[in-house]
Amino acid sequence: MIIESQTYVGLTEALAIAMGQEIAYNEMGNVKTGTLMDFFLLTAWETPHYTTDHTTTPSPNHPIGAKGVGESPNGGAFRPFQTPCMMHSAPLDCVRRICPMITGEFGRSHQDGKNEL
Amino acid sequence: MNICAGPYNIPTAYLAVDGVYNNKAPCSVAYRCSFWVTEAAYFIGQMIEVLAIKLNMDAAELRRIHFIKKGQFPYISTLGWEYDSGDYHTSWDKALNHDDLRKKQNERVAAFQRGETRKLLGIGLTHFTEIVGTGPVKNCNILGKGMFDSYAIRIHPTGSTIARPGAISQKKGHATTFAQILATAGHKIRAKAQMIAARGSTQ
Repeated sequence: MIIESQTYVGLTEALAIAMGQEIAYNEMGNVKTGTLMDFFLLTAWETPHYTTDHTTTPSPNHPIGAKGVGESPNGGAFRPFQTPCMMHSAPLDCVRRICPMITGEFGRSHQDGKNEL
Repeated sequence: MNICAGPYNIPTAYLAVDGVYNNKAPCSVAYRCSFWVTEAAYFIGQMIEVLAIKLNMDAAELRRIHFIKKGQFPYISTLGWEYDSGDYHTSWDKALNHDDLRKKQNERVAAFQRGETRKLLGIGLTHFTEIVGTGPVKNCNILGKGMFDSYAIRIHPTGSTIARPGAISQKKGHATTFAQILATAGHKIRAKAQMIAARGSTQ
């Protein structure tokens, strides 16, 4: 039960990282997104349905072969949410672009009609 | 840093690191984790994608070729880490074969080119490794302390049992699961299962 929950919540967090979470600064270096009101936290409305699957490889270093999950789902899932956006916009030039995709520089440059990423 | 070989069987590696002290989160990325695992996993994946573009190869196939094979575990990476177990090819094939994703994507791209739809379908793939369940080992040294976890269980003469795990309940079922484990174990020593409480240490 914990593992499934960690996976689902981790995926949701990864989606939030890829799509909206950003610590933005103004030209004076002050943080513009200082409260959770400015921070993209996914609600049930934005969260899609996930189909998950798993393979089992027990750890030889543990009495029951257990491994940890922890933050792994959001650590790994962050990339695949972002790759499709890159694939279809500028396959070579935006390889270095980092998140978030909608509210960050990527989103702004698209809104401005610029393709410099 | 020396986990940067990721899940790939890389025979030789050289790592040069420049550290930059900064009071701002780099790349506008919000704070994740003290180890920056998310960013590291992102970077490792990105390097594979870049290599695939340079070699004009499918990134999924490039990954498959270079994954550590099942028979190679326990695997000592070129930068000195031991990977205890894994079966990367099976999980990779499971993901790739799911719902015939590539066919769907090609159909959507064709429909987009014909002007029937303005929505595109993308496929995001990743594969990464992370250190989990470490315990107090020298590899994960944070300011002189190894990683650790704690668990205090007190069984009273009446049979009631109180457990104080180091992990806090994050509303993902930790408290319920811990209580179930305790109830199962407690049953053997005739503790009163209904009195068992699992609490997070910070609560």
